[in-house]
Amino acid sequence: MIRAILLDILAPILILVALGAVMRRKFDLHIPTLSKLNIYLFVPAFIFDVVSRSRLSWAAMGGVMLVTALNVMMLGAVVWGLGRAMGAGRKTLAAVALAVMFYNSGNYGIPLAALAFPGGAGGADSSPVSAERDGAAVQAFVVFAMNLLTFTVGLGIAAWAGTGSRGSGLISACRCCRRSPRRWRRGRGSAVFPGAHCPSRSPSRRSIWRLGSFRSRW
Amino acid sequence: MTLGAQLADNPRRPRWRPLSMVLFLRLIYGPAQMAALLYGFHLLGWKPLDLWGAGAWPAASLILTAGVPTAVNTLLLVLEVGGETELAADSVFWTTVVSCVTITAWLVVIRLWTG
Repeated sequence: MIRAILLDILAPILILVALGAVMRRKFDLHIPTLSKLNIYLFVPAFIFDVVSRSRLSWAAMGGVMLVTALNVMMLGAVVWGLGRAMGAGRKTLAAVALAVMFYNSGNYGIPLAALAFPGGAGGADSSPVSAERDGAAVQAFVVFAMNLLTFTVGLGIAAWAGTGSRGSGLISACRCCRRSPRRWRRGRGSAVFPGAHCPSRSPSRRSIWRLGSFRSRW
Repeated sequence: MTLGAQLADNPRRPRWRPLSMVLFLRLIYGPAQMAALLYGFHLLGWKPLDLWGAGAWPAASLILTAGVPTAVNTLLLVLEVGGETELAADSVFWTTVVSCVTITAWLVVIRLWTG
């Protein structure tokens, strides 16, 4: 079982990570451009594609986001308590809190969920139970919740570490909400086209579906 | 690939004391807490948060992905606002490296548990 897990699930992800590192060293890849493509194009398209095809109920979608948020906040409380007990400094405490609370639900989590629970798309097992286990569909909502939290709560924590003032941390978080367009695009996409079936006849929706499919297969 | 390109610039000797806390809480405690949370809501039986369906689905996916490494975004936040950038960068790098072992372990546990 361990061999299958390593070869079928982890190896494809780690090989791509290693390729990225090698490409960066060899060709001096421009990371800001890659990140912008990821943040503003591929991830929103992927989220749109997965959300529009999702078989999850509205209650389950909300439940996934709420449980993710609760888990993040509880992790924050644990770090806070441990850090205070150990007498950690403000900046160390904030760095540890950010590292523990906010995980790589997109670049790592999406391929991991898609490979571990391929659902109907790529699974060798085509039983009805397996077909409904679409990890990417669930993970899309985790990514959604995680991005909202990172650029509100996370930014507040980072700003508190930088300035030492809770008030300025909150102000920075509010400013960032205004600046970052991706969560609004995601929110709009899922609100305007709930339960839409892709591929559709609309050229724009087909493009999004193509980008989203590409992202889910990286 | 973007993650690999972002990690390529980071090798250095880390501060192990805070980093070991990050590794434990992020990779081991995080998924365990998520499992406890999901099972607790299942026992409470409150429909919207009861995600422990047949074969522990979609709880299994949520538990597994709660154990993934630290987000690169946290480093970007620390860089933008100021703080311990080296600890933030080390957290991203080392959680990604160690996650190869812990994610495999979590997958084995989840597979054995859910069948």
